[in-house]
Amino acid sequence: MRSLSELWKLSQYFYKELAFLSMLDMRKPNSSEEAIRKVLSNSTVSMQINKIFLSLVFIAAEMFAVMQHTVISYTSVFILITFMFALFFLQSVTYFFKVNFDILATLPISKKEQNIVKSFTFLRIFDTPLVITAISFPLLAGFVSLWSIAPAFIGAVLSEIFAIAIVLYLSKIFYKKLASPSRGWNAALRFVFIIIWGSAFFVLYAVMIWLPIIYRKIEHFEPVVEHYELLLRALFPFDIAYMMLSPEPISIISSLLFLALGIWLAKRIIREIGTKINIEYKSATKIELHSTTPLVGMLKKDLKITTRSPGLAMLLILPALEGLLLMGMNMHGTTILSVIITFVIIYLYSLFGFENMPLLRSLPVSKKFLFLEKTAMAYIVFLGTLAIMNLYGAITGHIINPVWQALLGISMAAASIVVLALGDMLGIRTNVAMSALGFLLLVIIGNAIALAPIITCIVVQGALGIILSFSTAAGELLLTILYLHRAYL
Amino acid sequence: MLSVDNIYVKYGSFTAVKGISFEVQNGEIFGILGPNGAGKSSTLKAIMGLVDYSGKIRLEGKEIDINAKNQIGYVPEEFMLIESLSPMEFFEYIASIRGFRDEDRFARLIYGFGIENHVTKPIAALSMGTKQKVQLVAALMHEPKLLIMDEPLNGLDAKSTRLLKELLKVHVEKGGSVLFSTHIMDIAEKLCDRIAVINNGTLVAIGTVQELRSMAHEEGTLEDIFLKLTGEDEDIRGIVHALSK
Repeated sequence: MRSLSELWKLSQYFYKELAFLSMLDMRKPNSSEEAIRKVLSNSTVSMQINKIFLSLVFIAAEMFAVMQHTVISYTSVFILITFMFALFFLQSVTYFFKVNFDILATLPISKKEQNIVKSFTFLRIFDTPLVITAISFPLLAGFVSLWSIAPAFIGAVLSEIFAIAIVLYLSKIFYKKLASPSRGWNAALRFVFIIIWGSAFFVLYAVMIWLPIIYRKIEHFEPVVEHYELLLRALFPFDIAYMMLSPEPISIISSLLFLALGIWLAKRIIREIGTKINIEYKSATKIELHSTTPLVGMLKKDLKITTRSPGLAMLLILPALEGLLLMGMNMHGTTILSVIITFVIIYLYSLFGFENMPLLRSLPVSKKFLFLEKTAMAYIVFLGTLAIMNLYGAITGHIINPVWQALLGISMAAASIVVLALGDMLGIRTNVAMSALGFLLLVIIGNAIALAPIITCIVVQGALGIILSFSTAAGELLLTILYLHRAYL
Repeated sequence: MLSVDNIYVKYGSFTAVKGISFEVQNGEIFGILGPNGAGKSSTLKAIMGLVDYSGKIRLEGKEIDINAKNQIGYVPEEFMLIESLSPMEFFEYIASIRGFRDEDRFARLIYGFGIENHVTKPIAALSMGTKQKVQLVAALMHEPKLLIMDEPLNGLDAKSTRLLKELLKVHVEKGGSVLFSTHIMDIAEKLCDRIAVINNGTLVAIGTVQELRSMAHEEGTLEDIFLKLTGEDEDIRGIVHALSK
């Protein structure tokens, strides 16, 4: 058996391949040594910057929780770790499955060692935040109570293991059961599965959103926590949070049981991480070509790609789920719209990354058409989300200002075009988890463009406000279309 | 039909194609031969606009723009497919972009290449040969005037190889043109009307097999002519001699 450090070093080659694949997707098929070196060097550096940024986000959340020093604040950190890593890994898992590990089988390395190399390659995607989170949380907790260090470490590591397990098992189910090409009822059924599948993630997300509110109003919720204390002490991650504050036999037993589960899961992950997924399919009954217009053809293709990629499918339904959650929390209309815009932009730019650019360049498709088609796709998602919001609003009597919705209907198109053109021009990697900073820039600019008419409407008010805001929205759209026409003939 | 005039393809400081010029006539099968890394694929990619180049490339006297790409069918050496789609969905996507509607021709190609039992599988699950057939159907279905094929016989079985060769002959009989690169000398010799030999990014020779024969002063097969023109015959003798020690 080779040493783990030797296997860790070996995994760096596959990780570089993964980083390269994620960067190469959006590049020209320019296979010179120099160009490849440049992409390779850029890809690892930009991923490292991204990892440091994500680590800082985790540290900030941990500091906040330690300052609160409550069961709910510590629990929320563990849930945050689980959800955020699950979401990040989910967005990157496609590239992991693209990496070809077959070369390992031709080398004198045992099956177990091969699996460890595959696991290390997977962990390397977010190695810095994984390690920093596991170390920083116990250290920060140690400032308040030395006793908290060990449970904080165990809780952080367990949360990370659960996140990886969730992503791997759900992705495998997704690819095996849902990602196979199908039409009609099967396709509709797939969509239902995606919503159920996405909801599993969303529940985790909703808990993460709710918990900060709960511990901001802790005095209201303390009776609830006390009422269910016995049950919560036996449940992860509450049991670990109780361990950090006031360990009792039930928390210790529960924590040990979850620790055993984590170890068992980690072993299973190492054993199964690289197993090939056999996709199920049905044979064709007759050969029929359903050709349509170029725009509809590309939209249909994008929808199929979306529903067959775990990460994209998740992003497709997040705007609506997120909007419903915020409406349920009685958030302000602009906040709800801003969050919807953010998720639509993330979906839009991620979808752009799934475009096979060399293939597209060999076809009669201009970049202008590509941008407009992707904008149309984002627009469909956006309008669908608004429709769901309005349906919910009609039931609950909490409808977002229709004028704002109409304004956004115009400015969202302008924001989408700018996001695509800017991201393409700056070469921002099309994966939200691997390029959080780049996405942040696109989200800020996209939000500014999309919300500018609404802000004008709020600031100016009255009939003049409406005229000015609609003029702003129309002006933005006109300018972006003119730019698109001139820059991408 | 196609004229390539003094094109250069650079990848950073490395020049892959150095001033290559040739013309492909209507009703002609034009082959590009060359060792690995000679610049064959780069030349074909430049024609398709997949890499930046300097020089002039014209199709029927006009620069190749977006619309001209509907007159070309391209089969790349590396697969350019969408792996999560099935072949049928991929064909529908390509057909929609190209505005292709001829169901009969499409069905004949599917059955001709024997992929009717694979059209609903995800492309990711197909064998290399079947993927190559998918690329061929996608390139052939809209009956383009010009077929550009980079090593099109890679991974094909005997029946499909013969079918493709026959289809290329029919294509040029109808006035279409074919530009393809290959390593298989036998096929180039039997199929091509004219051949361009490329080495280290430059054009070494161009002409019919007979013309190449007289240029190389070589009476043997196309393989012998090719090795003589590229200067690789001496290399081979040297390598064999060194390895046999």
